[in-house]
Amino acid sequence: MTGLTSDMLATPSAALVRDLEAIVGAEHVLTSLPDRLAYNNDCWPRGIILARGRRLESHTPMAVVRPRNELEVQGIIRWARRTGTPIVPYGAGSGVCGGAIDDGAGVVVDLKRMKQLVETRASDMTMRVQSGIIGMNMERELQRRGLTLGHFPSSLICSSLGGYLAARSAGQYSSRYGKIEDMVASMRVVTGTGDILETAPDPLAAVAHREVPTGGPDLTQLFVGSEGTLGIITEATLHIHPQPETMLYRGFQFDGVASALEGIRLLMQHGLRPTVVRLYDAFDTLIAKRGKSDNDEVEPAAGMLQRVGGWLGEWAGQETAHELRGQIEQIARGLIGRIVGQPLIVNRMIEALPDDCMMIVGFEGDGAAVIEEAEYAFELLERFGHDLGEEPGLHWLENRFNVSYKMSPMFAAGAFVDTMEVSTTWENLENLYWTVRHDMAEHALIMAHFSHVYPEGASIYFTFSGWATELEETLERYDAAWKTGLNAVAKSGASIAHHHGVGQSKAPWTHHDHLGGEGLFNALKSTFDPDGIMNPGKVWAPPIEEQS
Amino acid sequence: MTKQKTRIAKSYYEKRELPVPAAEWWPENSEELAELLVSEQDADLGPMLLLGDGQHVRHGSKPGSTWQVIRTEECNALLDFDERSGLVRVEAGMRWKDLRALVEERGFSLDRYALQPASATIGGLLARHRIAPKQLWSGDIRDGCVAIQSISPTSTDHVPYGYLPAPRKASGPDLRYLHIGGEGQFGAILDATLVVWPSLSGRLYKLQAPLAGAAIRAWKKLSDLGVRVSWSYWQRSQGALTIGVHGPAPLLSRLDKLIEDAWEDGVTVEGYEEERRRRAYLEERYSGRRTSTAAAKTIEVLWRLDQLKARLGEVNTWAADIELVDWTSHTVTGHVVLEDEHDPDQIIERIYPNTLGVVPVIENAREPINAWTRGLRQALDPKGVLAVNH
Repeated sequence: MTGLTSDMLATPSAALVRDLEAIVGAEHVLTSLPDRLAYNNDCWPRGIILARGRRLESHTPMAVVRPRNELEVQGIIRWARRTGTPIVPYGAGSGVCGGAIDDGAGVVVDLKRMKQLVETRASDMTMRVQSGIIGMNMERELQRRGLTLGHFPSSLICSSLGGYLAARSAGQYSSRYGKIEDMVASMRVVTGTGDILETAPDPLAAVAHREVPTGGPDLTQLFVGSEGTLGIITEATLHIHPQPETMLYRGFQFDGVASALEGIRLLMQHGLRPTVVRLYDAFDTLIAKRGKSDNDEVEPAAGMLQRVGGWLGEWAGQETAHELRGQIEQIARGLIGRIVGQPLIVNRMIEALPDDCMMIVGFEGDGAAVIEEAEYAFELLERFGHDLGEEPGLHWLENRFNVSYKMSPMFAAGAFVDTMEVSTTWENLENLYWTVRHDMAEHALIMAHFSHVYPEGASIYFTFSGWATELEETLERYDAAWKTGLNAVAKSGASIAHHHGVGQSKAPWTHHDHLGGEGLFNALKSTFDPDGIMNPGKVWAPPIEEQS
Repeated sequence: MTKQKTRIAKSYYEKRELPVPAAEWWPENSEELAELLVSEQDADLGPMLLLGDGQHVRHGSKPGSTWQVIRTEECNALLDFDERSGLVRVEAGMRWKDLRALVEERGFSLDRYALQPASATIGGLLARHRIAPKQLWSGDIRDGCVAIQSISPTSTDHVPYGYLPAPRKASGPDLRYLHIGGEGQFGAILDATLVVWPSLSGRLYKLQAPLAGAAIRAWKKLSDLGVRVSWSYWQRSQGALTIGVHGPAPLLSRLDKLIEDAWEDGVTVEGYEEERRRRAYLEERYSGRRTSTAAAKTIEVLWRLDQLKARLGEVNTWAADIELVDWTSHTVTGHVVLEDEHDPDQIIERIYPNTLGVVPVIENAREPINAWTRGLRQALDPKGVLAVNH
């Protein structure tokens, strides 16, 4: 922490510490510099860039509190109202949009002590859980009982239920089990007014209607995705499922993204429910194939830079006449950071790749119907591509959590890696794909896969990377890449966020998904957070052009 | 200029046990509907209530002595049909049965939706408060609604709110839900974009289930087999669990065998045409409507599936008939027609703690307004333009 001293950060007042200790106990109020720095960022890559440049002063909270239960959460919020202190709910800190960072004047509320799986009931497939539980722990406990939530984000080991709910998370099995907003039956929330409410009748409560309004809108869908701006989710009741007994996986190869997407579209519009559908574009396919030899599931953000150097060398060595070959060889000899520092060239080269792309598709379930369904689906997909057998699918299944958190060396080299998950209708999907690729080409090396599919459309998961020598230039390139990317998404008429949430990074673009919706969001804020203390600056912000 | 009907059909309101309004407005499109909510109102005519088919008006929507009505049925245009994405966008006043005919003309269907009242409008179906949260693949219209446009009296510059038609967004709270299930408390739904399905094939399976316990066992067996049910219906007086299933013909042929093997003689299998006829019949006579013959004696109950048998045991002796619809893996909705001697309010009070929710089909009592509803009303309708919860 060379260069950073505690006097560079605001010091929490004695009154603040005393008040919070009275609510949660002294050992659960963290005010030391290392503790506060640990909460300086979640997994927002921009925060990582800043941290590596030792720019720690702007997002380091005054204190971190760790409540044990809902009453303590309520006490914290009531205290925050009295003192006008901003509070930032914090689960596991795996968010990548800056949704759990403070602006330096607030208190972070870390919910990980609230980690009980309170109850499971197999008779109607329901469970009640506290929001601070880590996803993997929750799933392990369910599987021990022969059950599953069906929610498997690649961050499962380092993310919390509260985070899933707050940011409308999706797991790898979304086409069968849905996103988290499809799984939740009811939530308990301490709103920014300090009141406790249940968003819907809780089927697991002795009396299902304790604090539930009898009429009016469905509060569940208003609080899911609110990212702590309306209140803190303390507990949720969710639908669960028996663990599937049958698992049928396949890999398919297509001669291009377009034919693959057509097959997937028909699959979904015929009413089939694959558990997993993952289509990798040409470059991502190449990376995935290389990853296979490493016995590693290659989630692009982690794998791209590690492998691109070697791949470039091979590619340049092929007998391929290309005007860029000389440049490629030069790039391949250089450092990874320098490769991604030439995004336009590399992106052009990617466009020259064969269009072949690979898809993983899987069906899981019980009973004979799932076997029939899978066979029908595989036959359908064979009309569009080539069946590679079960091996690619099983390989993916085996390695799907080997998503590495190995980005630090790349950030250390001055590079940045980030992901942008967006969604649109089938009619608009290819337009979105090519528009984003085209517009971002000069800012970052870019690749994509399609991993959440629905009858009406799909999500595209773009991974992009760039590089610069100096911190300021890196930030500038990073911001430019994001601005260009999200503007391209908005221009295409697609949604700016499919499952990472909005946080701080995308807040200036939220209005694209909610045209004319600022008044509605403000109505929610004035009702549930009249003092504006709940996670300020997240979810909704003025458009960039208005900010400037 | 929106036309105002000078002669109001009193029978429309009498059938629905609603008082006759001072004025009735008939906007012909969603722009006119929006204009009615955001323009200056004649205070003497009272606040406004939005009515589609007027079948599910409840929770304090019954206004005071003077009130106006906006009838939305003429706002029923097709706005867009994206065949590749399987999305249809229609104005909110379009009736369910008209939407069905419209999409069928284009080779699509509403097959995978649960049973809906045929005459209900799309806006009404979405705005209606539901006890149960939406559930994936359950055929709930909320699950199939990808986007809406809406207007609130305070909408800035009269610009409607528009939720982008893209699947499963994570861009903050789903603001649509101020209007979906909102009973018109905070504004009007102007149009909706819904998922529609290519017309493939269908089956009607009638599974013998003379008692509710047998119906529950049959439902669980279907679940164990992995059968995807589009709609489901059990009626005590009929003694059979009827389900509609849709999909590609080859898959349904294989399913026939699975089900026939599992039920042997206890199942009747019919084809797509019969399924459509049966569905149309059930939707025409949907019992949870204010105009149904037994509406005054009917209550709508949401039960947990695992408690269903026991809870039905409680109401059986008071009920002239019971229908169970919208079966999911967790819950079942019941329409219980009470014997004449039983007062719905008393029965509701008695069974309420053991349900996830229960309401009478005809409900005119005003619920006490809670603080957050008051806050939202103050923010979105400060002048009290809308005749809800006054």
